[in-house]
Amino acid sequence: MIVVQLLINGIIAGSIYALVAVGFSLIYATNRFIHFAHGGFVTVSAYLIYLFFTLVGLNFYISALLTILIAGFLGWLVYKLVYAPLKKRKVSNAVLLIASVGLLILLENLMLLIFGADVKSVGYIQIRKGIEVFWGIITLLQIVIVILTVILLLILWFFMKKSRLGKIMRAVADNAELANIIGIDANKFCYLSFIIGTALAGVAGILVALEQNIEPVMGTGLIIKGFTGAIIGGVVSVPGSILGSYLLGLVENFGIWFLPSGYKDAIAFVLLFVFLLFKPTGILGLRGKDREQKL
Amino acid sequence: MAKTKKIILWLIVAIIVIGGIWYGVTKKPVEKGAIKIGFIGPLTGEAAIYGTSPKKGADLAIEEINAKGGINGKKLELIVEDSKCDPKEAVNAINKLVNVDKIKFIIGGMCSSETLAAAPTAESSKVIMISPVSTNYKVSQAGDYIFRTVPSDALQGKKAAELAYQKGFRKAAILYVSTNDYGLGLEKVFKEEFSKLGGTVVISEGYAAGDSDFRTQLTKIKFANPDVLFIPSQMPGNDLIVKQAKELGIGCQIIGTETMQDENFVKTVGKAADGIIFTSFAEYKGAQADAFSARFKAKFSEEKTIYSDYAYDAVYALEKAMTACKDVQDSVCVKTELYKTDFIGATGPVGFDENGDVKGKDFAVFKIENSQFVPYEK
Repeated sequence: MIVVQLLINGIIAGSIYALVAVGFSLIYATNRFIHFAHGGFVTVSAYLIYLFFTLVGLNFYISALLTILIAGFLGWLVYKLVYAPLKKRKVSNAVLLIASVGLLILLENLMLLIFGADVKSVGYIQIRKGIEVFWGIITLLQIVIVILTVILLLILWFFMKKSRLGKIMRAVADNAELANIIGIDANKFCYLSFIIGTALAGVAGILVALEQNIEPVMGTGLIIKGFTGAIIGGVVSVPGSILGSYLLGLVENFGIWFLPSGYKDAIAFVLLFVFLLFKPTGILGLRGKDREQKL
Repeated sequence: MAKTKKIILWLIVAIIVIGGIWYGVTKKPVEKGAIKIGFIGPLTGEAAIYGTSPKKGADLAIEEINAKGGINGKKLELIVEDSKCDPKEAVNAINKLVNVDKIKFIIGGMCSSETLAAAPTAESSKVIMISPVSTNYKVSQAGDYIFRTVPSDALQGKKAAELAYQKGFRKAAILYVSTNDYGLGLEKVFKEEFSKLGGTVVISEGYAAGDSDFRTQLTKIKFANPDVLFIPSQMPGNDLIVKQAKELGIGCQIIGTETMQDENFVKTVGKAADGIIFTSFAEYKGAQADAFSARFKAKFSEEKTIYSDYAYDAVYALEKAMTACKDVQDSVCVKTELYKTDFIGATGPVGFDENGDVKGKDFAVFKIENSQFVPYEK
């Protein structure tokens, strides 16, 4: 059944986009600027797991844990060194955006300089035929990726809606100055979102490294799709960005069933345009009016 | 605090300025009047392997020629431009080399799209380009000043089609890179030749260079039920296509191209690569080839990489033609001499036909066995 296989393909692609989108969207939700360098941190994490597991030869789970921890630390570091000083000067969001693009290029080229241009493979999983599920084929790793994404969706939804920390983060997201006035240290939560968001980039980096191999320029492609998924889903809503990524993956893969495969990116961006024109707040984003009421 | 910050900032600025000046000074030609040779190829980006590998071959040849005293007493110097496998960048690179550096001879471009994009500028400014990588069939007609040391894909596509047909396959599928001339050219030639022989191409799917998800193309291919899958693609791309094809349970024979003759390909794909057959440059077994391999290993402490020997021979072809001219910078004379080239290089006899294509070179068939490339026996 070709339909089932395409559905599976779409879900796998969507999960990978979602892994990237979720950290990006978490950072956007609290900081309100577009952190493109998030894709760069996915790349760095992919190389970290390659370094620890393949080059140094540590146990895979220890390598993965180290990668996620270091990614989280790097998130803190980049906020401290780049964004916090810029924000202190009250620069516009455009400046922060440009800084993040610069950072993305810097990170990719650093990886190119250190590890070279050729494709690297973690080599943790042997290539073999996947498992047949309902007339379609999926590999074990892909199942792990999909399940992990769904778990992340649930945890983050719960975290943002129900937990105290999540509520504060949303308060900061809605109005940082107001949050400051009532005694919330907004700056602290900006740091926190960078740590958690970039640790999530670490998770994405590990799984993408296993699924797609590693090359220095992989981050740009990933963040473009992750960003598109986040916008479609409603970028301020973390669960929304996951849903948007799934929608993107499915539409892309079903689109090229009928259209030539070269139109894949075109399909993705047509979907983005449709959303920007007719529902600019995305699937789960709040409309202007609703937001005012909520505030 | 602010003061220390300012000092640090000024220090960084000073280091960059001094570093820049130092770099500029040390980069000056070894000797006044050195003959500059341009190099256009991807050194960064995802296709970097197609630039870094030939660059090593060119570096080695230039080092040897300079050690012997250069050409008519003048040393050679390589001016390298990174074109990222992008035709726009290749045009920028050739404009810079021709207008700023006043260069008359270029090794490159590497990706076929680069060579085809830069060729009109080279042709109109009488600059000689020798490509050691571009195999697209259109390069033959790119101009009088455009040469190449690798054989054309008109031959490679034919070889692959014949191979598929001889093995008894009648229904072929193609998955090709559709955003550059390499994939487009091979897809066209294979389709024509395979149909001419009596086979049918049941499905032909393209993808954009840089893609990493080929599952839907492969799903469509799987449901078209071909006997053989031809993949004119490149690295990275080959690795993920083969991985995802195996994962989706596509069991038919896979035929690849010379881009699979890449250590990284077998390293990343592992056992799943075994059994793949691919067309690549016929190996030349001669003293010159062995000597090149030994010298390459001594200089870079790795086995010779694909295309590096073709770049090495390209530099020597230039050297021989330049030596024959009274004025080494006279590109019209060097061009005429290049058409008369006849020497044995690391890739065997080197000579050019009236299109600037290398003469007498062909493709051979290889098989991957236990992650090794072995000549394919029928």
